[in-house]
Amino acid sequence: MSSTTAQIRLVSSHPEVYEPCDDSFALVDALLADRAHLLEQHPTLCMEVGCGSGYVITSLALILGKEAPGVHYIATDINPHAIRVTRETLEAHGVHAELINTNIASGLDSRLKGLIDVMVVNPPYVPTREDEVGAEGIASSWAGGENGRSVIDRILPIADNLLSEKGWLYLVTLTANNPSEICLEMRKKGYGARIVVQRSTEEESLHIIKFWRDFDSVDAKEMLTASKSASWSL
Amino acid sequence: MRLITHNMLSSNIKGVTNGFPLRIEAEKVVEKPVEIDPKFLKNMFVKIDWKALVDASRIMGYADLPDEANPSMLELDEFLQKFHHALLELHLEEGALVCPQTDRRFPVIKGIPNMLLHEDELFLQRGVSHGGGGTPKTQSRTFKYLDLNTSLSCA
Repeated sequence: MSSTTAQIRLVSSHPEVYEPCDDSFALVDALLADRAHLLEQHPTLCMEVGCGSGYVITSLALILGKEAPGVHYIATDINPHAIRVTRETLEAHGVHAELINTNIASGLDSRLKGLIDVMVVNPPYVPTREDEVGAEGIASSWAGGENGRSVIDRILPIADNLLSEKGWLYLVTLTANNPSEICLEMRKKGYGARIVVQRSTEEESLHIIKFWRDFDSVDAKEMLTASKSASWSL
Repeated sequence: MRLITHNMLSSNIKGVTNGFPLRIEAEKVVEKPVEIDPKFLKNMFVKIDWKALVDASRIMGYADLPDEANPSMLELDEFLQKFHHALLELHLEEGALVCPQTDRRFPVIKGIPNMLLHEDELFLQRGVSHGGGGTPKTQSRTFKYLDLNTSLSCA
């Protein structure tokens, strides 16, 4: 298999699992656009939260491919059907990820703390009533509660806990999610942010935001002192 | 499920303080050979709880890991082979992971651990996932119809 991303005809499906669509493609396009940087970052552990059909984690494994040996992939989903479909999609492309049926990263948060170098998340971002959040199966892929932020706001601190010092988060957001406010929240946690892909469709306006730990902004003064003793490499 | 995953998982039940390592109940273990990658093994070594890996691999029927290990051993091919085999080639296909504090069983079915909690076990747990069907999320929400053509043309 020499394809750069997962092939739609090889992506498995199930009535209760979100099929790859504009948001998935935008996220994979962002990873493709950032490929050179991803290779330079030399990730060891890459993780997808909410892997759905497996299109994104499979594509990430293919994008990094043989040029990035020594990468281990982990994917989670709360929907057991999604986990099964992801396994089939991975197998059809000859790549591997460890799969865990769990909510966000529950059960992984203590041992994986500070170890994830690349995290990709296409969260349930559609604004819904709060009581629709966390429904089983199909709805868990899109029901995002007020402003579509309920699940995103739970994921962000978990991502902050899991990301390594060099770690990056790629997050899909909708304009209705107020991406600039998300960036501001992450800024408070010490992250820089950049929109890697911006795409408007008939239905939604999508932003794929990349977050990274921005050490020179966290403690600018401290870092300034540190830089004089040449210890920038965190 | 590889043992590297076992090494990364803890019991997530509310109130549990000693949730690691999960005890393995092995009903079916399979071996799937993969190419050895010394760089990955060297990167992971410091992050692995060695005793948990040794105990887990023994339950899975592999007893060749030494009780103690230190980074200097990573220069030895024989050690790397064993570490590689235990960490990445042994798969728990059927069985369970058991919380060491509460004995709660997390089933492993077809190689996938199920860490989902019941209502009374969780502190705050709600969904994140991808259900749906070939339509953008916003559309799923608004119209709830299936349009395969839209989905395929995206490809």
